[in-house]
Amino acid sequence: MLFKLSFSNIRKSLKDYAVYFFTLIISVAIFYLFSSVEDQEAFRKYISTDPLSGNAIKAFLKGLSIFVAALLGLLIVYANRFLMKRRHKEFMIYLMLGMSKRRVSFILFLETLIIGIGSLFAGLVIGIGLSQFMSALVANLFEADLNAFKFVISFSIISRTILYFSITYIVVMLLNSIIISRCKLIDLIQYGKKSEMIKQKNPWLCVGIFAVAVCGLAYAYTHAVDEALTITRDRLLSYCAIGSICTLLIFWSVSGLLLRAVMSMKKLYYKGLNCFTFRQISSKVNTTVISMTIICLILFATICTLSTSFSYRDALNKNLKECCPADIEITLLNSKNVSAEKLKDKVLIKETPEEALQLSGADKLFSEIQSINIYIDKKTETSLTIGDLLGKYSSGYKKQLESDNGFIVTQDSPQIISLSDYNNLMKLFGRENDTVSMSNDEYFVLANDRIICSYLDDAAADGTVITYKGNTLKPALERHIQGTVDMFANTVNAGVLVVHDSLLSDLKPRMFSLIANYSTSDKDKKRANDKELKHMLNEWVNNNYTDPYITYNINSKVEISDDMIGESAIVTFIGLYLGLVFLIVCAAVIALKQLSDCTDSHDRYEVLRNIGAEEKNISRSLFAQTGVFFMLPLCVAVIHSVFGLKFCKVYIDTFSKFNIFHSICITAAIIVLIYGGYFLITYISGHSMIRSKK
Amino acid sequence: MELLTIKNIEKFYGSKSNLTKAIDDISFSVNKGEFISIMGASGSGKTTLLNCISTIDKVTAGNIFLEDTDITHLKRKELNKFRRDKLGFIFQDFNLLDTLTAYENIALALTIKKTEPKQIDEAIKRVAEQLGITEVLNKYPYQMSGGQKQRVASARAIVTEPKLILADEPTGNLDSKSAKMLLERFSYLNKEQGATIMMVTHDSFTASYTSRVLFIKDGKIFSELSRGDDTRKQFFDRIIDVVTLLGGDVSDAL
Repeated sequence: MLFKLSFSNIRKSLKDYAVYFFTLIISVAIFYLFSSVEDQEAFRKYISTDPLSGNAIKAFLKGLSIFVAALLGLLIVYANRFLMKRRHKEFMIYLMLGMSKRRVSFILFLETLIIGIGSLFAGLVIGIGLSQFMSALVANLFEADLNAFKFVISFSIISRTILYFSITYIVVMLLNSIIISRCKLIDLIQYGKKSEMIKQKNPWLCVGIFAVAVCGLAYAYTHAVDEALTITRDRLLSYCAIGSICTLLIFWSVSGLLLRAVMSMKKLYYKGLNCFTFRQISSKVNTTVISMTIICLILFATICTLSTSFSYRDALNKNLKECCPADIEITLLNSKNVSAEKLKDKVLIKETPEEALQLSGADKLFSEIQSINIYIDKKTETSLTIGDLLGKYSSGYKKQLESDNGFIVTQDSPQIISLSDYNNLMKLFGRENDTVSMSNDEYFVLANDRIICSYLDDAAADGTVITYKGNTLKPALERHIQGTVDMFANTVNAGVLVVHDSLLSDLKPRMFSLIANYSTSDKDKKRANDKELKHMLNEWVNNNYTDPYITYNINSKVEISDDMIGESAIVTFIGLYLGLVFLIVCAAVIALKQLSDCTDSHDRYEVLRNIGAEEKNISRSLFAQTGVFFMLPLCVAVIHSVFGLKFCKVYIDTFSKFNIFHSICITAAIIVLIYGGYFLITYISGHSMIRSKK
Repeated sequence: MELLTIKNIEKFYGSKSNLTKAIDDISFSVNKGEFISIMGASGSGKTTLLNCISTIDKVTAGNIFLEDTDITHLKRKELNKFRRDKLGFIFQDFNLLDTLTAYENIALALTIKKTEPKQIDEAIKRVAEQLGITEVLNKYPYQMSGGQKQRVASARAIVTEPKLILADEPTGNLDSKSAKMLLERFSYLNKEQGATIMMVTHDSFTASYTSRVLFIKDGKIFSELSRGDDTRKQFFDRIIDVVTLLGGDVSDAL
């Protein structure tokens, strides 16, 4: 009998509380979806390439999933509270008929059980279905081969999902029985009949608090952005605290001010259903100041995590292109620069990388090979430094680096390459436009370090003259050339001096470098080629030398990019995960609140109908209410985000300039899709709730 | 002059095998400036009749004319407009919006009709004075007594100057003192302002304030009483007689 009652209760509720079930199912699905990433082929492959950091990442993801489960659990408990509130009348009837509280609790227990099993099942099915798309996304993020795409059902994740959500449902059951055991019949009967008390706030106090809040925010914004690079954790936290409190104050004062302002505009206020709409909105904002604030702050965090994580990925990818313009770099220090005592009984390799390639037969792997000689002039006391290249701009550069605690390179000697090597290199990189011709009394600089570049440009434009081996050289160009001769994961080339070949004829190269492209363009084949190249070179070295002092150093673009992609994929993945969960939690909370208000206000809409309001106007009023409820926290969050993103941009800018516009677009699309979707669902189901029952 | 004419209306519920006749061939008319009440026991069909006149419900057969319009033939959109422009409603449970002040509740009826904001204030002050609620205009429903709430609801019904005011058990939720005060106001509106009021009640005391009483039993008009030159007390006694005649099922409805 009780079971039948519970079951019919659920069937009845299914229509009214679609959002509750929707939230349950989506929570389970999202949880499964992101947890299952651990068992995705691409992710496993990534983890297996680096077991140490892989395990750390795995542990971190596990912790993250517990955090997310807790967050979703809170959402479910919150949603359940609304469901309980809606059903006071039903409980009243049970209790009036003489049912014991324990039996009512048992009915609720059965209901939660059925709902729990149902939503778990539905959520898991949806989660498993979506995880197939997820594996494609993960494969894309980790740039893995899509051929590894497989239909995976992860039983360990399913059992973990069931465990976490069972805990949540048990908490819900316990809370429900506490609510039932605490409730008094008189309260249940009078529930809903108590008229709402409306407190008017003092308008001048509101204006004052609003002004204080705006000033506080402005203070926190400007200081946080200005100090972005030097900020300490405590200061950042204090700015966050100021921001949060000011947000709360803004919502508090706006709820009072908005109504006042509109009420004074008689023409607007007394038009159609406006006065009803504004009163509804104001009373809602009034009673939900704290939840509005929390939602706003979470939205702010969402926007920042989403767009920063996308930007981070963009930045890394862009960096890769710039830092690794070719597939392979092989270097060998020139043995002639090594002093005899350092060598002891070790031997030196005589062959340059190019010769070694040919002798070992590895050159057949490549389509293009370019050797360059790298010189460093360190012979004399008066030898050239990077500071000399900057000329009088050197002090400005030093000052900026000092304030940023950067690594100052002005005392270092620059690497020097010849013009013909430079031009050949540019041809290999496919940058024919950047080839330069100049006479033997000219120079220019190749660099890609973020900070030094602008100073180098200033110096070149100013015609800074340098002295090299007694020759006075003047700049050939009015700017530096963006680039590097060393492949490295970051843009750290502070300056490579390019001079005419004739100036270097008497100098011995410090280092032999070889830059080459494979004949294949396929990434996996390149990876295989890397292995083969290393194998062939090692074999050759081992066959010809025993215990060489220095051997060939190989930098591979694929290896560097694998490292970077792993990092960027993890960051993007976590950003996406947290962002989505936050967004869904916010939207669901607003939707639940709005819908419960709709049931509360059902009678009010009935009154409007009775006194002759048109259906069209009633719908419009509901739309406005739902819209304000969804938009208000979002608007404030967007204003926060403008400054939040500025702050994040300063950080990411330190290692790569990036176009934040792109990632903001993606973020906006995600928000419109999920938040907007929730808004529409809320409006539509709210609309059906307030529809006349006749 | 006839304002409302009802011709042979019928309202059936249910299916062929299980037919309930809520209204079974009722005809009558209401003159302009009349204060009429409809009495009957629970289930006699009086509320169905009111709902049909107020266009909330549709008749199965027959015609209802308000002035020259046959409201049984109006389309849905026209019905809304008709209800808004021609009728005023007063309900048993007041139906005030608890989020709005009395002033705003009354104003809402005007703003729905797209009245100019300038005229709103004036109109509200006028009806508030007529109904004696000027001092509660800035209060919220929860700060008012039941009688005040019903007078605010009445003000909302008449502020749009409807052709016909329909009241469904307006004194049902009031104590006897408040009920008396409200009915005196209705009489005032009827006599001094010329409002046409049609009221459904099962309370003989309430009915005795009106000029004519229609008794309904099982969906049919059972009897009709006109006040004529009687005092309210005499009219009340005559109503009681008919109620007794109507049978035991109404005798408890005094």
